[in-house]
Amino acid sequence: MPRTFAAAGLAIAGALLLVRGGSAADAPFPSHDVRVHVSVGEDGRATVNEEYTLTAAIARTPFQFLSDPCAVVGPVSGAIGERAIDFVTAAGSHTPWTFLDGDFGGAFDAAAGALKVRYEVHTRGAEVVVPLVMPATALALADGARGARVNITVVWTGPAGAARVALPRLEPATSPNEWQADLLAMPSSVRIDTAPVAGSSTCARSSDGPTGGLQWRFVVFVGTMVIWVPTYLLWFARRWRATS
Amino acid sequence: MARDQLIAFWIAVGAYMAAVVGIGLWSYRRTTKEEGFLVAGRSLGPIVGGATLMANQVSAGATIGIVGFHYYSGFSYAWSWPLTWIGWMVCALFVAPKIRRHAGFTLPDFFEARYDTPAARAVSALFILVAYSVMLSAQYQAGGLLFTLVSGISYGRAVVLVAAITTVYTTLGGMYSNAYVGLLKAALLLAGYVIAVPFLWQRFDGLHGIGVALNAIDPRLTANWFGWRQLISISLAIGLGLAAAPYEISAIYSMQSRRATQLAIGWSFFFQTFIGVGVLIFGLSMRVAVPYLPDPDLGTPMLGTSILPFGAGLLVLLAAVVTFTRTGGAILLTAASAVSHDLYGRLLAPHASERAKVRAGRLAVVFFSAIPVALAFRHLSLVNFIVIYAAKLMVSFLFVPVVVGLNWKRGTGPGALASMLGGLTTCVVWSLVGRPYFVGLDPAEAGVLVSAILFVVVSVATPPVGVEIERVFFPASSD
Repeated sequence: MPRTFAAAGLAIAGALLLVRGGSAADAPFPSHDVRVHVSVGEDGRATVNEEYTLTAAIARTPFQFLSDPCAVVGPVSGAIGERAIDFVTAAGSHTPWTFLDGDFGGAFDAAAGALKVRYEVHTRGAEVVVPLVMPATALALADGARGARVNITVVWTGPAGAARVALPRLEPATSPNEWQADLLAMPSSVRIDTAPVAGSSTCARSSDGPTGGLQWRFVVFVGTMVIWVPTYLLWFARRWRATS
Repeated sequence: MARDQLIAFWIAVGAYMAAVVGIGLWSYRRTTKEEGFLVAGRSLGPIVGGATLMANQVSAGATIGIVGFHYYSGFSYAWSWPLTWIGWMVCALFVAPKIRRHAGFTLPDFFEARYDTPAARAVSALFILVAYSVMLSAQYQAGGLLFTLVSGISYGRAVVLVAAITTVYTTLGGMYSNAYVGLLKAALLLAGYVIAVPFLWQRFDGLHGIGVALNAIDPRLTANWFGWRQLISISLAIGLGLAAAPYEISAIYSMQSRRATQLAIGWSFFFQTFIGVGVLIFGLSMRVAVPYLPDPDLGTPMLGTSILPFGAGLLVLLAAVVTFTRTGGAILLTAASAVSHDLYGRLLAPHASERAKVRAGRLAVVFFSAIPVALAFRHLSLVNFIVIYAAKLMVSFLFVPVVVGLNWKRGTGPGALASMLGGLTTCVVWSLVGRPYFVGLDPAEAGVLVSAILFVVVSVATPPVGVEIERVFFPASSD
């Protein structure tokens, strides 16, 4: 009997390892130390600077960002050391995700230092959504950590108290118009609530594109459960009333 | 997490532990008898009972693991909630009303009473220890990930901390604590999800915005990442496994009556509806908010620490802490009862006093809390994969001898033993083949099929159980 259980235990462990082995992900982007600086003005114009400290060689790597109906991103430029890098929109982009091909013109090794990416975003409306350009794969893990170290700083250059970062959750920094936090992965956007300015343009946020039937599937899913719960309770309550 | 927020998090965890200790001390005076420690004096009504059933089922596998599943596979896994209810219906109609006719404490109690053999008790108690070590490791792993991300302590230390909290929690209160903390868990989950879901809904332009973004990544995320074949086999393994799960059977033994048990199952559906919708929106929103998480199981911890506003984030994190300590507690309690009640109290020292059995139960909690720590250190797989695998083992081993055994009086002890061991072995061997749907069957389906065949064939070939047993479990036919 103990032998049976020992064999079963080994089999369980083996099976679980098989499951783990089957969930391999794409190769990570060779950087676990990222600095993102977003500066937003009252006119809705944002300037974004990203810096990826490289830990290994980097060649052709796609980047991407999540487009927003109330924001125009670009152009996106980059550099590794002294060498400029052009980012061009890839042919296979799927709205609302826009993919960018970084033309590195050959491989860079880690000694090249850091990849710097810079772009502007023009936004409209009281909720400022600044899409962040990011590698189209996970970042490398920092030593002994469960993720990368992505430091995000947001600076509001408009009047004090007229803006608040809604997403991701950042903490107030040294000045009242500055927020920052360390995250373990790149967020797709920074969302800032601003006080409406008289005469500024408004924007109705509604993404174009197919949802793949998510809405009707959700309604059927929730409807099934919402109908079933009272039906079950009434049925059994009535059964017990009848038997008593 | 900022320093003041981290302090608030630990204060909230401390307050929760203080509440648990309070409930534990209050119930300590009521748990001088084994009936109090293991089955809460059979005092639970429909709503507390429903919260208890839900709280057993909704483990870290749901609040962390299923969020991670939705993160990487999209919508389709949501159907596992209503499909799992098929198992609960089997429980409501064919298990709960019949098993409550027998005033047992644990599932091995039922096995000995129904099949008139201590071997069935011993085998089922040993199986509970093995399967629940796997299940408990998933809770520790989820808790370890959460504490690591929130506080920055190493994963190993975080796992040990989670194990310590769970052990203290369970040692102090037994089932009384478990029942009332189940209600606290339901309240926290509902409050956290009711605040967090509208926030995410609004920020990501509702289902339309989320759907457009996910459909562009991969159309399967909004449709059928998992096909119906996979969903049905996973859900039936979990649902039918729950119908015969030792901790759910202990919860059923804790209810006031058969009526309370059946209504409690309905109330657990009510709680599950909120949680099912909540974890779905969490997972889908996180895929849009942070498309490349290094590990899908980090979805909930990152949602609580970096995406939601502080108050809502704290509630979601605390609900996750309550989830893995509470379900971990239920699992530990069941494993402890397998040792103290079934192996020690019934087989090794049948004349032990009530006090000695309660003390053995508390010692067993401490001892068996340590074993899954080693498994959690290895971080075997995604949390929900571990939970699903444990469920498959459970259904292969337990479903036929419990559910068929309660409804077919010709079932015998040798039939039950052959069914349990044959079902488990088949499930494990099928998993090791490594090919999905080998011979068209999932490991759990193969396990249940072999288990059913062995149960019927061996039972028919061996003498039936005595009239006394028939009178307890099949009163209508024998009276």
